[in-house]
Amino acid sequence: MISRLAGLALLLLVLAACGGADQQPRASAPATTSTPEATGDLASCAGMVGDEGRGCYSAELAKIVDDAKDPLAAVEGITAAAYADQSGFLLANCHGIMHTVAREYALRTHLTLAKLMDNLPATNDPGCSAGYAHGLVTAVAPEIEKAGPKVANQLCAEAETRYQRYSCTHGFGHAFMRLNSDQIQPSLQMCRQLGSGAAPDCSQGVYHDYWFSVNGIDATKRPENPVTEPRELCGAQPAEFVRPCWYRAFVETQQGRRVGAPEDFEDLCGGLEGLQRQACVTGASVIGPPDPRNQLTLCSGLSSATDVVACIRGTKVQNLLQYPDDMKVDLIKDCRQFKGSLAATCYRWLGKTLGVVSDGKLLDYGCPKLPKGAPRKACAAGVKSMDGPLVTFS
Amino acid sequence: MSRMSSTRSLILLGVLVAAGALLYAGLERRDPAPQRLLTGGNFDLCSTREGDDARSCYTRETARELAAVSDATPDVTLAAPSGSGEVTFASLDTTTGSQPLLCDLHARVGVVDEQVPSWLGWTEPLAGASPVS
Repeated sequence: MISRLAGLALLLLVLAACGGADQQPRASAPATTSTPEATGDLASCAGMVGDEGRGCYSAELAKIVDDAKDPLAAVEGITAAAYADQSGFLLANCHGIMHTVAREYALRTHLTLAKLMDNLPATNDPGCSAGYAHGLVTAVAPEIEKAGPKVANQLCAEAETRYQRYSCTHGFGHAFMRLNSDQIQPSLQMCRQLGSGAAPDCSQGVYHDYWFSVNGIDATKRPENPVTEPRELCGAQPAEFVRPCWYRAFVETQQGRRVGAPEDFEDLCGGLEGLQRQACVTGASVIGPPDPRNQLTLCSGLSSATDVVACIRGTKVQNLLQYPDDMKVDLIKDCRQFKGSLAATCYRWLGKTLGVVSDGKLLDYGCPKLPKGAPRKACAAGVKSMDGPLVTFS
Repeated sequence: MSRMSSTRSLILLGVLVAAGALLYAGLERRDPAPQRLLTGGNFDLCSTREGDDARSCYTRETARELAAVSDATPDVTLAAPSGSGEVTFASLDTTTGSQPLLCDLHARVGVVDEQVPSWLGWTEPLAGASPVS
């Protein structure tokens, strides 16, 4: 009897000490990129930065989304929390991270082209949600290629809002790059097959993926001799893709730099001429003040009219997405600081881009609040043109 | 006889202690929530939900997780003008001195860089206010 009890006690102690054979990893166990045993615990990424942080977040968010009965709701919930997070690391990196999360999710669940639209986020968020959408599109790249450009265009046309249609087309650019081993030229050729209405916005995804590959992000392979100088890269691109090339180049390469004065444009774009200069100035404007109203003020200080127009094209209306409509109206009202045709250009361009982020609603709540005549007409014309290619937008 | 009895008592006590330890270990494995709640969110609460219910759950739990992460992340103080209602988007990085911040578009389009402060840090106080025009 004694020996039985002693044996039982010993067995129980051993089991308690070992924790059983099926013990799950502790939620607080640190995750590293070298041992990516995800537990769905973002706290395990605490203190990690750079590649380590991105790797950790990618693994943990993938686990969270994979475990979700409603993955889209998970992505949208994560997005909302990312915007509210004060540290900003997730928001700043969420687009790229979600590329990977979604691509791997789609491959694992054998997502098909037929089911793609049902799985795309129904939001206009250009951060986490758009990254997730692009990742899904990237995963079905082979099917897109088989289906052909007509089906591809129809697919994007099904998206609910103009921003989502843009995002879908941008995703094709990523997809085409993966089909072509991240080679720009054959990918641009596939974009061309989508037609002139979609090709420039598709190319934005191509250049975005190019910089992914340069930085070795999202399972891309770094080119043997990557061109990382925007003048060299964009100087060699076909004319219709020069603007998207510069736009993406500055967004991706000028990390931390702010263009805050007219002379900064010269530093970046001096010596360039024609389309190359215009495209460069637009890209430089994008890395200008985060407040689009301050951007317009900066643009008004440029001496050349063509520079001013190019600068206005870089206005980051997307930054007002989370804010009241009145702020969008206040932005377009600021076009009054320009004179004559420059003002009309400003009203029209902001009408177009604010039309995109409002899915056309600016026509009702914004344009009528502008002065009667040319400003109001230009704004309305801009909104009505929003279904055309956006070219310098993301 | 009494030595036999005290031996049995000791063994029984050992069995009870071991059983208790096993029970504790089992409970800890089966429900990690209490520990997580101390440090962050618990996505198990959301994983079987759908639609708006799931969305709000993931928002809440992600926010808890990120709050835990932020405790170990350098903070950035944004110099939004207090009470003016003016939108300047100005920011001041107190942890890295003069290192400029990435613009918000970088953040939105997913430019990758280290510890980028959220330009939206001033969202709450200014969201309801219109800028001075």
